[in-house]
Amino acid sequence: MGKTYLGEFEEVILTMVGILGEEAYGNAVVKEIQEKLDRTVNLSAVHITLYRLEDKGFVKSEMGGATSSRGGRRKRYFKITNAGLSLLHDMQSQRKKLWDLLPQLNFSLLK
Amino acid sequence: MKVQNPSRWSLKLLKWFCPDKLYEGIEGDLLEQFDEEVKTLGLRRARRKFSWSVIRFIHPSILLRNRVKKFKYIHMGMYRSHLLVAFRSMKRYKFYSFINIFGLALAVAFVFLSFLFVNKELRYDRFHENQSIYRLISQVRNAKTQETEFAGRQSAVLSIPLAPDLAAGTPSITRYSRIASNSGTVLRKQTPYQETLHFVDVDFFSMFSFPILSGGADALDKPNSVVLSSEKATKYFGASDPIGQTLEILLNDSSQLFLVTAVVDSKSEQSSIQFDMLVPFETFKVVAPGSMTSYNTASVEAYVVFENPDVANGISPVLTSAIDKLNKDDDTILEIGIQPMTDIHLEPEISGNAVNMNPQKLYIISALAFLVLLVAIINFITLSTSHSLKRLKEMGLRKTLGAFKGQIQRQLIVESFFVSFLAGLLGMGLAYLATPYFNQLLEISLVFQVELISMAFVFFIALLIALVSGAIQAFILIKHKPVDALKGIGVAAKKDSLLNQALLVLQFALSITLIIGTLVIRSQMNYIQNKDIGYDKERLVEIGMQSSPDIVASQNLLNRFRQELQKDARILAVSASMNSFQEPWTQFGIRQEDESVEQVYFNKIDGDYVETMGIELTRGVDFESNSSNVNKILVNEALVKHFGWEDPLSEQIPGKNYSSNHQIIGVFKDFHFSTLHNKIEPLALSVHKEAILGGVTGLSTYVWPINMYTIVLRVGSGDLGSILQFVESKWEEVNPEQPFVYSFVDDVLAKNYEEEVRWQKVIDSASIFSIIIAWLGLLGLTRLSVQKRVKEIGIRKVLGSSVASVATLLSRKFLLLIVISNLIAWPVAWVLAEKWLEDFTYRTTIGASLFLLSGLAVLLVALASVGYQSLRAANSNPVDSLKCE
Repeated sequence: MGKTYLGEFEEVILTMVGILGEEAYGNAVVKEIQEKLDRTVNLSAVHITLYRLEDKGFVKSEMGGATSSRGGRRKRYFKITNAGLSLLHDMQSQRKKLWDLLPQLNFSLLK
Repeated sequence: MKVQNPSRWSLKLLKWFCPDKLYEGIEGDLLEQFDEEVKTLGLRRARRKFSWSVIRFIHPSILLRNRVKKFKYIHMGMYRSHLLVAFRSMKRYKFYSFINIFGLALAVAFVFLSFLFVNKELRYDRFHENQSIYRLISQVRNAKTQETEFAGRQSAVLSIPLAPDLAAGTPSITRYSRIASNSGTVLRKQTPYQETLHFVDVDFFSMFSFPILSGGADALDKPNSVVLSSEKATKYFGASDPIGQTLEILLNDSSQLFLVTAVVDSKSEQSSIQFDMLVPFETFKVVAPGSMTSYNTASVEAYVVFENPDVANGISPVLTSAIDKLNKDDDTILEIGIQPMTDIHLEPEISGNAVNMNPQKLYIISALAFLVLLVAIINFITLSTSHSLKRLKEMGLRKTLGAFKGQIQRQLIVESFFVSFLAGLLGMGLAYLATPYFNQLLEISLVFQVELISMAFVFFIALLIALVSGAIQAFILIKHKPVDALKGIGVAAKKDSLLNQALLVLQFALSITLIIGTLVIRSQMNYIQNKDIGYDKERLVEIGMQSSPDIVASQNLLNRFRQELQKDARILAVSASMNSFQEPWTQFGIRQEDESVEQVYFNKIDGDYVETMGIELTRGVDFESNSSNVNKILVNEALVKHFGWEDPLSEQIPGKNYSSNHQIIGVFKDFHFSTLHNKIEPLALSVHKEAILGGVTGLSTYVWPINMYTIVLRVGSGDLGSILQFVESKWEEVNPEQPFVYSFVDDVLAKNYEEEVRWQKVIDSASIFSIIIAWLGLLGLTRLSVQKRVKEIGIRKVLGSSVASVATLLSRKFLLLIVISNLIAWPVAWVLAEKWLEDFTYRTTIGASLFLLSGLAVLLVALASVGYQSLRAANSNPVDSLKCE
């Protein structure tokens, strides 16, 4: 397998899992995206992406303890792995490098 | 507090499709969301949203996590065991397995070949990269009556200036190319070769994607350049590089040197535009000097490219009005339409130069393939269901050991799938082996290739058969109680099911229908070949003459040639004509006082033509040979009848502004100058074109200008080879500059029916395939049914039955079924045959004998296999069968 790339949505979800830390499960991710990015996403899309990230090894999941709300169903908690974290890191630094290459004088020209 | 739950069905649905592993987490999240939404949105909307959210979870990446894992971990071992059992049972029942697999394989092979054929036809003209190429077509409408002329026929053959004028006046047309053709003689090392030249505009290569093998795309920019197809490049230049070399080409009596500028692949196998040699369109003025700017003569096809395909919609009225301004003729409106390049091949109604294929035929082939496959599938199902009863014991044992219903079903389906997939692969192998024979038989060139879609097709067929036959087998087997099954009860007592009998009837009905179809086509072909066509086609030779505007020169050439030939007594008569039997004859229109147009066929002939051809005169006199015959014409009976003349010799063909001053000197019996698909239309013959062509309103012709292009010879008895040698030597003497190209008229006529002959072969092979498959099925079924009754036969024989009575008992039922098949097949076949024969104006009658014959043939074949099995059973020693093991 060559280098793995992440789509934009995958990247958002992965970042959110990282931000939420111990509390990252499907619904929490949906809410967090709504709150931080003001963007409404569908629960099914979040789930599908989470499983895909798990297949790629960027997050891992385990079931939490019993709950009294939500019909007694347990939560599936996701946690970002080291591979996921370093991928996010790489993406950030790559983007920074590219941003630096953008000729800054364009701003003055456009005026 | 009221219970606030989401809808039950959506929860059930989620549980059904969601993988167990993920289920709890997903359901919990959904419920949590639901609880919150009940507070913000209210119960009803929250429930609706919940259901919608569940539905949105139906996504491949959720669903696939399901099946793959189940398949992998739980059942894999079982599937392997099923395959092993299937393999063992195949080995044990060799005869039955052979019939089953081979029958299906034959059908798959046939379907596969048909698929290749249909696929090839559908891919015609698809190699052009430009997607917005259109062919211009036209239809003539009467300006006063607004009615379409030429029976509403659309034609792609247009006048020469039309396309450039349209392109100049319509900005959305970015490119155009006209394509005209004419014969020319290539002189290479003093030897003349007859070739067809195509005249095209400079945009030709930027419109069409014919691969350029050498040279540049600007090959046609300069006058006197010629582009060769790779075949012709090899013919004239062999292995050496043709680019930059010259070819001397004789066109309409004028010789010019052409510079070879490119060699291209003409893709003749998949292109509607056929060509060998391309020259710039300007060269066409040598051929048709008079009509380069005329709207009255149609002789070229034209293709255009629009700036984008959207323009093409609704462009037709724009083009029509643009042309109407340019066209001087006030009596008619020339309606211009367009036809997408990729539609040309499958549109036989528009007359043009492209090789057409009636799409109906593709449907018929597909239907035939489907029928053959259906017969084979029915076979497979009936055989395997009857056969499966042999395995009652196995199933009884499995059930006793705790097998579930579903497991047995799955086993049977897997087994059927294994067998049918094997048959599918074998069928593809057969198709591969048969491709060259099939190509030879139908004179086509199919390339056997396995593509993903064909593999998927075989897989799909196997799956379909597996599901149907597996399910039926399971249904039959599960019905029996395990105890009975183990004891063996039910095997002997079980009669052939009604379903099997119905399927057998259907199968034979299909086969009989196909056989009748075969016979009908044969009988029509026979009828055509033996019908009196009105002249003597035997030992009649046509020799092609070069196109030339010089009528006098042609006449002189003919006279000299005739003089030379008639020194030999084996040459009975020599004459010449404008049209030959290779092409449709010239037709012209004469406008009548009431604005309608009368169509009359025409051929310019030499004085001896009628006598040479053996055409019978019913009234008046023939032309005089060696005389001028000015203003004299001969007409056929169809023309006399058309105009309703009592005394044709004192009449004239009527017409408004029709200025020709002709005199009808005789009437000849109708003869077929077109194929037997068409009725004999009015025809006039004259020696001088002036006798009839002054003031006609329209002319459609395949040879231009009007002159004689074909010499006809009637040869007497004697060795044809030596006679032809003599004729050729004289030809070279009289006319050394032209190649000697000849054909026998009876061969040419046979060629008209090539398509039908090909069809005959297709139907032949379909019916052979289907009867073999059906026969294999019958063989298997009778054998099974005889085996089931072995003990019964033994007892009957012990009690004194004769061999004959036992054999009758066994075969009676099957023969009855075949008689029923006949009764079903006959009316169906009759309707189909009548439909096919509608295409022919002159057609054979379908007699009852034909039906009886095919019914009888099938009955005999069935009798042979049933009878053989029954006799064998009846002759067996009862001791063997009654012995208790």
